Amino acid sequence: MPETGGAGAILGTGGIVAVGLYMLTLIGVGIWGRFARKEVSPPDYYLGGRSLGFLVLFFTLYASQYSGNTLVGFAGRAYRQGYAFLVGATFMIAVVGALALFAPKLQRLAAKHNFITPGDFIQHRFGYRPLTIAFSILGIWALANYILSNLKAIGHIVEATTGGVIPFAWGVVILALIMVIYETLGGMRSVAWTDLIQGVILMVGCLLLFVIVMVKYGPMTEVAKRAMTERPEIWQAPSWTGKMTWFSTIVIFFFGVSTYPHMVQRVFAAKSAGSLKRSLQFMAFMPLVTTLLIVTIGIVGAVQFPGLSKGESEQILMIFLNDLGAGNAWVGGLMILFLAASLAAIMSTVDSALLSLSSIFTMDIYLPLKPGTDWKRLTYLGKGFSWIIMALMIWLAMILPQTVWRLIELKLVFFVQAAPALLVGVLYPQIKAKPVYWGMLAGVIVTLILTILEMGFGLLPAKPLGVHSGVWGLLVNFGVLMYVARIQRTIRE
Amino acid sequence: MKKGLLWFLMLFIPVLATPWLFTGSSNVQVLGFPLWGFLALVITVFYALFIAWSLHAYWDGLTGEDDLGNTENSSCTDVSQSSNLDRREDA
Repeated sequence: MPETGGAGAILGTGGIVAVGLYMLTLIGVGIWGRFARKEVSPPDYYLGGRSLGFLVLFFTLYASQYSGNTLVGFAGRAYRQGYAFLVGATFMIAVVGALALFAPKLQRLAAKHNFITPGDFIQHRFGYRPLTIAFSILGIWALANYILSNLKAIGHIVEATTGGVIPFAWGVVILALIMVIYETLGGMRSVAWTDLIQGVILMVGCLLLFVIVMVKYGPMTEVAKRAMTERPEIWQAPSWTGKMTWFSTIVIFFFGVSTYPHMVQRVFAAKSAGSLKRSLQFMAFMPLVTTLLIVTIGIVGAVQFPGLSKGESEQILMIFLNDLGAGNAWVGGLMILFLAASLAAIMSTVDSALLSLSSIFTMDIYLPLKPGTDWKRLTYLGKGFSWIIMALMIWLAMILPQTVWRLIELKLVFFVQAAPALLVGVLYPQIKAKPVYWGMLAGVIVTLILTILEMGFGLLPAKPLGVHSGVWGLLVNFGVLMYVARIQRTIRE
Repeated sequence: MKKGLLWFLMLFIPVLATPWLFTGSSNVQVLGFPLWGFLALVITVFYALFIAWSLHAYWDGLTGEDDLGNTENSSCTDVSQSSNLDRREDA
């Protein structure tokens, strides 16, 4: 019987020590990244000197795409929605589908013109400062929200698994400190190398959990028989509104997640076109061995442990582990692996988002204001920004009321309005700046109006006709973009 | 394959995975999934294969030869608003 850390602790003292050692390893990797640096400059700090080969690039893309939501949120959604959440695998692959369209050209342009942030590309491509600023603001909104929601998740996980021995606030502070330390030490190199470790843990954790759940509670044919009779609501095809939401989710991930600034910066950080090409080819299959497995576990949970509330369903993986028998030593080991995988998924996303946010503040906001700043000073400023941003995020994670959190969860519906700038910028050279700018503004305004009507007045559902407000905004965004582009073309002719 | 067609397929194939034609409940199961879910999975696997193949077959076409979108291409070029990159090079 493992010794317990506190009342209701899932992780014993030995487990806490093991996770602590894992955290120390991450700092060790950070120090390694510090010694591997070639120069003190923003390209070296934010992009690892554009030296990421296939293995590191693949795992940093993988670990950055999968956040804490993959393990906790997706399993819970699959529990509640059943087989209808198989869309989870599709929309995660759609992210790679969008990357495949624009990443090859963007990587070549970034290497040629030394882009560091996505804002560099937007400014270079369109030469219109208001558009670059609007693009950067949407990026900051998305990244800050990403960090905030993941920090909150990390605090809850630490508190729950240690039975309160490490309270929420300390969990957030300790893990945030670890992330900002290894990031400051080695920048992108440290982040990417730790992503490699975290990606492997996440992948192994998902595979192992899936195999154990299948052996103990499967096979899926038996689960299906029980679902048909005991939980018919999770077995049947989605309603028309459910289908529209399915379609809408694919669209929002295709355009939104693929253009997240930290994903784009990984494209910039590729050592070569070949390493990026192979990484994306492998990435296309990763949802089948990560998302699909977690979704399947959630479906099995819906049959095995019916009647859980929404909050309880988010703990479905933990419920499986507890049911397997907390007293067994091997289950104790599995719990440590699960916790490590959860922390890995969250930390790999937070550190990437933090580095990206720091680069936007340094290169897109500070540098245009102080154009004479030398690269060494810029690098140190960037590190300082990372600490300030993280401190601010920790503070907000602790004080924000629940009503504000609902708003913060809406990061993707707003950020997706920035996607046409990047996609059109790369793929359609004939489109100029103003159509993209007005389209982006129109998309944000429509999304904001729909959000206010839903959250402020309750006049609309969260997804009118099953479609996310951000997708309605995106439709208007593209519509305005094409209309203004047509007017410009007519005037020119 | 033309750029427009590749664009269309990249977005259209995952949309095909949506079980538009299925309604209600059916007792048909394939490998432990409802028929509509199994078909969605098959299309999803095909989509992953299509992406990997597209990257293999069209990488050179996707990288493009043109150096699009410098400020000369823009109708909104403002010399006083030179890019961050130019400022950095000045620095």
